[in-house]
Amino acid sequence: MIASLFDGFFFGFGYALIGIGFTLIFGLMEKFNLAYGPTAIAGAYLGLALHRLTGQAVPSYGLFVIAVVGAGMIGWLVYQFCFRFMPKDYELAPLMSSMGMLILIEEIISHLTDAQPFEFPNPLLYGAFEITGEDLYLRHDYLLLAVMALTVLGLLYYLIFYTPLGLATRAISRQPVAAQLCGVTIERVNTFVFVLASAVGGATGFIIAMTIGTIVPGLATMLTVKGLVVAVFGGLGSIPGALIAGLVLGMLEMGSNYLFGATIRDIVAYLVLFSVLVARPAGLMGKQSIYQ
Amino acid sequence: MEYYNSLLIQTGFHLLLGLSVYIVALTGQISFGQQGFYAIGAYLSAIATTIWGYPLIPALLLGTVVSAFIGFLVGFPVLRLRGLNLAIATFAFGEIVRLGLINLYYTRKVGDTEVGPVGPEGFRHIRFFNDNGWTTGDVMLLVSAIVLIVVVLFAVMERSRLGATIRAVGADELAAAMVGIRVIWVKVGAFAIGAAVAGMAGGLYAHYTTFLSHQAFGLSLGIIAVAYALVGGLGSFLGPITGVVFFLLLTEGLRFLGEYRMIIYGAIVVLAMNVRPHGLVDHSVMQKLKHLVKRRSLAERS
Repeated sequence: MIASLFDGFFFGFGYALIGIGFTLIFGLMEKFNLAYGPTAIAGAYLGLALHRLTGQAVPSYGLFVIAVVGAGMIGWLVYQFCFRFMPKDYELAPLMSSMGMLILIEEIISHLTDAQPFEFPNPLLYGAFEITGEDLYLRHDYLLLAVMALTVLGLLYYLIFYTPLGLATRAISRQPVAAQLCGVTIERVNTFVFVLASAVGGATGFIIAMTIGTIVPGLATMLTVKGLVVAVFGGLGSIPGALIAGLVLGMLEMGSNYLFGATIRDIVAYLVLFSVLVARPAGLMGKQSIYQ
Repeated sequence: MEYYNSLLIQTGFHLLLGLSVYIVALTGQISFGQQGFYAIGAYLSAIATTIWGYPLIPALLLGTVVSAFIGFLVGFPVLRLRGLNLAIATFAFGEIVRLGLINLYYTRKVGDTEVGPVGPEGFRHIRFFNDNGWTTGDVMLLVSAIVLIVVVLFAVMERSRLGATIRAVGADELAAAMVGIRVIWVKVGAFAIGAAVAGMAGGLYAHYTTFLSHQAFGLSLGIIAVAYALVGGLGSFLGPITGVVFFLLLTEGLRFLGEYRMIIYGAIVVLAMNVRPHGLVDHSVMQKLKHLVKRRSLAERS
């Protein structure tokens, strides 16, 4: 029980990272990017493709960089095709177009890989720290996930609160029109944040695929769903909320998996989500913007 | 002929689903949980005919009414949420229903076969149409009749005071409340009507396919139902109908592309939303249509 909660806690950092990606975009534009999961997974697939094409010559951190850059580029395309030309005050249009993009990217990946699962290279496989005798191990790849999540959080905070770009994002999230009057190019800032969030997604997708060990196209939709759940659960637009919600979700899933088995696992997670939303309509941390 | 009949039947189910999302969307809410009501209607009316031995129509009505009632119960707490939070909460509801069905065991011996839902294996032997000698043509007529009734009801509702009230709530809740509309009742009512329509569609679906599995009620069904309403447009009940026809033409028309079909499908959805972000039949199209009809009737009179 403790061991599965422990694993869930660390895997939860992965959920939290995906949730933060949604939150970053939502906080700025009040829109959901359903193509976020596929973007992240496409990044991981790009890394995998390089790994296989070069005959496993490229070290893992090289693949990681490719995944991040690739996901960023795909994110840029998603922005151009699904968000840029949509009416600003109608959030359902980009919801639907990014939905189409989700199908498109997932199908392209399925098509290129014949929908076969692939083994994902994991240099940290089987490595684990032992913590107090009784079957309590901390896997190295889980630790990496946690470290990465905290690093990304730190960087984002720095970016949002201590740089001119961060000032621009905060201005846009409060008063888009006033920000524009003060010389902030909304389109450019939006694009940048979008690409940044997608790159974070690529990194997350890469590490998650690594910890799972195999990668299938279906992971794309799974990540989108988990990310949405985490972002809404934690309170849209709140980074600490997304972090807490991700960790809670990870522990809930692993814990109820241990207690009740796989078929009940998701019911518990969704029941908790449902009740939290009913009790606190704005999510755990309430609706706020990260940019404030 | 068989092919066209089953195509029409399937289209009928999807039309009802699209309409059920549409009425909820009119109040400004997006529900990704209509597949839950579809599943409730399907399982309940199938249980009613196979295990309890009900005739078809009472079984369908039972599915419809119970699903509306559950929509009503779920609607109250859930509709306090706004916009995209509501979408996630309804999605959670749909998944809870689906995952609950995986754990649903309720069988009874009828004749010499064991019937009823058997957890993850699904619900086999829903043979009402088979036992009573219905052909696919008969089923098609039944489904078309029900769809027609629902569409006519929607058309009437749209022109009535109720339709205006629902639209008012969707356009601006505060303003609607200020002219004395009970916003929460309208929203919950619309949600319950949507649930009823989805439940009815589910009941028909269960008897048509004869086999129910929880996999048929996943998120993808909820998403496609929302896509009908949003791609079709919320300008009028013609919107979701256009949406269903659009997707039907896409899936059937792109069949020659084989395995590339879904790629093109996704691309066309992206393109359609870029060209018409408010859907194919939005307010401007409805205005033009009304104008056209008015001018023609004026010309006839003079």
